[in-house]
Amino acid sequence: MLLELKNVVKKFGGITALSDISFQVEKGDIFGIIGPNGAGKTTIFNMITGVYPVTSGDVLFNGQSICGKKTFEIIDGGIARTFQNIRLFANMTVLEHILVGHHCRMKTGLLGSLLHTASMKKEEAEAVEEAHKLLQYVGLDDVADHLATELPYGKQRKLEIARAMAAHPQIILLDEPAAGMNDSETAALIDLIRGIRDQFGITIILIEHDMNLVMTLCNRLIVVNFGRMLAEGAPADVQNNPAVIEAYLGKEDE
Amino acid sequence: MEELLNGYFLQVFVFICINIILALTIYMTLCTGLVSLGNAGFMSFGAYTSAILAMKLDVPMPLSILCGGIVAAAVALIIGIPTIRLRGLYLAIATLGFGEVVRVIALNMKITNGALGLSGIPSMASSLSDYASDLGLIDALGLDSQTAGQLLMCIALLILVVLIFFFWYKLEHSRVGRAFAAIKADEYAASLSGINVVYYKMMAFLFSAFFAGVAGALYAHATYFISPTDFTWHKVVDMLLYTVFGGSNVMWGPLLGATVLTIVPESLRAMSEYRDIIYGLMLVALMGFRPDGILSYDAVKYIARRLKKSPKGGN
Repeated sequence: MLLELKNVVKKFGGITALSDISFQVEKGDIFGIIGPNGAGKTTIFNMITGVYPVTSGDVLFNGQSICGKKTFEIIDGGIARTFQNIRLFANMTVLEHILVGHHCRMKTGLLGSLLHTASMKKEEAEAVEEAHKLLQYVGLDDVADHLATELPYGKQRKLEIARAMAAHPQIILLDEPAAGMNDSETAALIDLIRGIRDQFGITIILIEHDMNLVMTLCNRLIVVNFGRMLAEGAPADVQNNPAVIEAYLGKEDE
Repeated sequence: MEELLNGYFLQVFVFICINIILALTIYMTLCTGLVSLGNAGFMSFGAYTSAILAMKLDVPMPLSILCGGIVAAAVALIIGIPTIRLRGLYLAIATLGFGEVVRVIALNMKITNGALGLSGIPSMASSLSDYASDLGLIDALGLDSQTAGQLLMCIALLILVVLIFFFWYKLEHSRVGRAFAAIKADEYAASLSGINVVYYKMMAFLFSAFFAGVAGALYAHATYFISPTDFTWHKVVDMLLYTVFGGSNVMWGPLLGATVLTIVPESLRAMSEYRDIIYGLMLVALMGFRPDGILSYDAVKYIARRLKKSPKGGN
């Protein structure tokens, strides 16, 4: 078991944002989290990445609890993520974004950074080379020197994914990767996500509203509504689950 | 040459150097998006520590100046642990408060001699000229010992400014500098890209305090007299102005800002009562036309490109 959520509950003051969320993600899964807006999907990501502490329950990564760890420790441990609203660094080039993502895998300390020692230069050169390879893979190498904020929307999304990949994670959490994309961009994204799993061996957990993408990509998924789990299973099973249909389409009047 | 070497010009140059260091300390914290206004407090820690060590314990000046910086950084560590997590204006207010607390403490302590301040602090210029005359350098230059001392102090400060500048320049162009820049741009995204935000903010804060302490110590040994009124919040506003005026996004900004804003009030001395008005108008105009300061990313890039091109164009 790569990642396991056990009865996770999150309360903000008196409001229960998540209640009793439990699921398991296996290595190699492309795991979907779907549900209406405000259902608590991003909150699940925030629980996993340590943005907020869980109120109760536990998050296990490779069998070890990661509750209470700091965000950077969790990324260092092997869980990276992207954001629902693109969060890129103003005034940084595309290449620099990848290097920031690679930060936790670099070892040069303060002294090496100050003195620009031989080992620091070597590490930097290797990081830059790897960053170019990664950018080539996602198709952004031709704009490596451009400011990230100058890129079109679809490429900014890709850059976020590449930044997460630069941390060499075991799992990447994608928060609505296809939001705002047209059909052809979404098709390319589907190939990209599949490639990340098949070629890099990275497990994917994604939140998405685009049902076509979810049904094509995910081998398992959960449905969340009002902070509760409505259903869990293979896409086809979930699609036909009456509770899910009700959550999305409402109940038929008898 | 003789005219340039008069005491007044050399004194102004000394203040330019000290102000550049102070402007850089503000820039260092701004690098991680921290608006820290406690630097007058750190400066006074450095100034008093170095002055007292040199006066009462006869500690050699380079060592006492270094101690001034270390004490300031140690204080910054104590202040930083509870406050570094504060964001934006909250940190500004907290550190501003700290600066005032330090001033009031200095005002009431015996060892700092209260409001009267410390006078007769060993002079950096005379200690440098003593050192140089031991080596026989002064006779070789044919200068009187006072001018020679001041000149040597200017050179020493210039070297120090260059060293500090390169210290930070190297740091900025490394893994650490990238972490600073990411935090400045988007703290949340930086922390979720694997950067230990608190660690790097603290690092910038400590370096800033250390160099503010060093600048304070230099100030003490350059003016021979310090009192709590030298380290009021006006001093912080000055430092902030140097940095913001010159451009707070690039390292050349504080350099330019401190230089210009030290020279302008001096050159306007002849206009006595209109001086502050002109100075104020200049700042208002700048904020109106170039809110990011004189030097921005684009300006520096443009100049760099022109400098690269010009040797070829000259051929």
